[in-house]
Amino acid sequence: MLRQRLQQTQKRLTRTIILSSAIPAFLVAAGALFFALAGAEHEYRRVASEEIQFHAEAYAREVQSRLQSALSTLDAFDTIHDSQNFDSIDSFFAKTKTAHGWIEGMAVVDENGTNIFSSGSPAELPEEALSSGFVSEGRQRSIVMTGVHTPANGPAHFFIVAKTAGTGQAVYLSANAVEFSSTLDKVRFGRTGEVFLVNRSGVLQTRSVMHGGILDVTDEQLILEQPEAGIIRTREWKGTHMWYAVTPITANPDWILVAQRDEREILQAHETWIKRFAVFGIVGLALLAASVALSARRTSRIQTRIEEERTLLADHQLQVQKLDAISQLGVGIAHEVNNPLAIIGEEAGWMQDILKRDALQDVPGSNELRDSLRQITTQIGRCREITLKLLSFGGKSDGIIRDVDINALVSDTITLRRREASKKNIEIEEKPATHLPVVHTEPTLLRQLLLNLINNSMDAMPEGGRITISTREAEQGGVVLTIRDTGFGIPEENMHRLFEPFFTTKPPGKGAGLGLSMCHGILQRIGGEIFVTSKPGQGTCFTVELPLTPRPKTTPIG
Amino acid sequence: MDSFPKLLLVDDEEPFRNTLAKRLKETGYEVAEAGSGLDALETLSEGAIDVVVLDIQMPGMSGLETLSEIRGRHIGTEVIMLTGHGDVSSAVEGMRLGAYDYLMKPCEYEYLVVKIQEAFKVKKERDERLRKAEERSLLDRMEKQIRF
Repeated sequence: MLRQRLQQTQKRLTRTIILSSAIPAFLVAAGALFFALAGAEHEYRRVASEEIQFHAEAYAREVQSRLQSALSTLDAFDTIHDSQNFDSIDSFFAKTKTAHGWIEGMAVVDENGTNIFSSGSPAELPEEALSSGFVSEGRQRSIVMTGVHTPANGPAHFFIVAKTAGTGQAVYLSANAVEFSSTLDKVRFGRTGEVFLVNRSGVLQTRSVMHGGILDVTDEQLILEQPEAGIIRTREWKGTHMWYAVTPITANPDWILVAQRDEREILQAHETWIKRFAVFGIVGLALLAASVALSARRTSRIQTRIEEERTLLADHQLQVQKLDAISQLGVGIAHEVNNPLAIIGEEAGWMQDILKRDALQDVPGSNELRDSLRQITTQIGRCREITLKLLSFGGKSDGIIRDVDINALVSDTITLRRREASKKNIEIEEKPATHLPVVHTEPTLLRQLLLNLINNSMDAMPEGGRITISTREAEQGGVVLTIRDTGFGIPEENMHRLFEPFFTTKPPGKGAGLGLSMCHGILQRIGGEIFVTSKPGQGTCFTVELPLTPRPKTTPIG
Repeated sequence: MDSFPKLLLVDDEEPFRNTLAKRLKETGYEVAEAGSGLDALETLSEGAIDVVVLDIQMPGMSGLETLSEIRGRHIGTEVIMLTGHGDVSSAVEGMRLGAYDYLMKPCEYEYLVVKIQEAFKVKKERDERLRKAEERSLLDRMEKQIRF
């Protein structure tokens, strides 16, 4: 019954531990994992977006600055052109060419497209570019930048045309689109990240890894009415999801710079990271679960041990209580019997005194009376012996635990017995150890214990002898007390019965056999052990080991 | 000086006290009786008592209290304690307070007589010493007076 209940309690304990510690821990861990993953994803997206954004802006600026410098070249050229000094124009162009490798050539044409002068190897200006170059009339100079064209023979070109004010001539720069493209071609971020230019009709102006060569058509999603910078867009093209950002090029309003990257690549790194994190999280949770299970098991094991120890303790308590009850009863009886016994003794003595009077010396039967009274006094003596032992067996303990200086206690107790001992020709010698630790115990009980042992030793030396009482500090803390006598010793066969109550080798009436069992009882109460070694004919040595603090005192029921 | 001391027997148990007193008288002692600590102190203040036989456990003023009173007021009187207790601590306490010895009750009559005689002897010796010391100081004083 009890065992079943214990098991049930243990199961409940285990459940409680799991519920109260594991579940919150799991929730916290899972929550932390979720937020970490969500945060990580958000961070990944932000970083990827920023990267695309950055590329879009940075290379737009690059393209812009290139075109801008070409335009300023044209501007500068305008002033030289006026001077009609073609040699200087030639050398100027040579300088421009070294700065801008993508500009192939430069030419001055009239309104009909007739080449007046050229430097480098300019491609032929297409008709529509020429006409657009002369669209604006008057003195106002206008610059037109064309899209990329592919002539029937040769590579793709685009032109920058400027009408010279007042002269009826136009000057143009011919740019190699492939050369121009090569700077953007080199730009790569990640595996799929790239930058390219498209015009407003979605036709490629530079090469693209994804969409093909110059003048290939991209998808119509790139045809934007109002390309807004600073926004990340997504689109699908031939089953590939892409993130992209656009920046319009102000130098050529027809052009847009696109920076794009494959979504798969962006998310792939994130996924790898998530996988790693998930593995870590799962391992962590598994460890947590294992540790909870382990702690639950251990707790239940400890619980079992506590229960066992409690049972042991309860047994021990019961025994101590039994001893207590017995001794209380004994003390009560002894106490009640003692006073009437004293009166009987005195009355018998008085009768003996009267019988000693001369007038009663020879009364018939007076001898019988004397014998009878002697017997009464003898038996009273025997009773007295027993009641005294019982009284001390009870060890009328005041239950007060004090700090006790064992050396002082020993010499106190010896004082009580020294007079008696010297009469029996017994010498009591003290061998106190110096620096003895103070023992926390019940001095009353300890004194009785010592007194009993001294009495025992004295009884063992009817011819006189020496009792040596020494103290020393125990190795594992506590104090060791030894009482050594030079008496007749204890025979081997009696050793194991030594502490049994009412075991005695003294003749009837000489000892109740309570002394040593009393010592044992006292040590049960104040804690400590008693050992005995003896050599018959040489003497006996009792060793008492006392702990520094008393055993937890058992509280009597009621 | 007498070889038998004057005794005071203090015990609350009347039959015991009476019988023991009778026996002690029979032996030759002069015995006064007191049923309580207060009675005992009264008797002590009335006349010279050599040895007090004092029961420790008494109602009212306890033996130990009586003992300390006696030691305080009548320094020349010896006290032998009788104890019905198995309580060694009160005996030790008594010894510390200055009792000559203690006996467990019920005690053997002969043993008690021996103790009384021993106590008396101690008292007599001390009285003798005191007397001699007094004489000496008296002589010293006289000597001084003569010199001046």
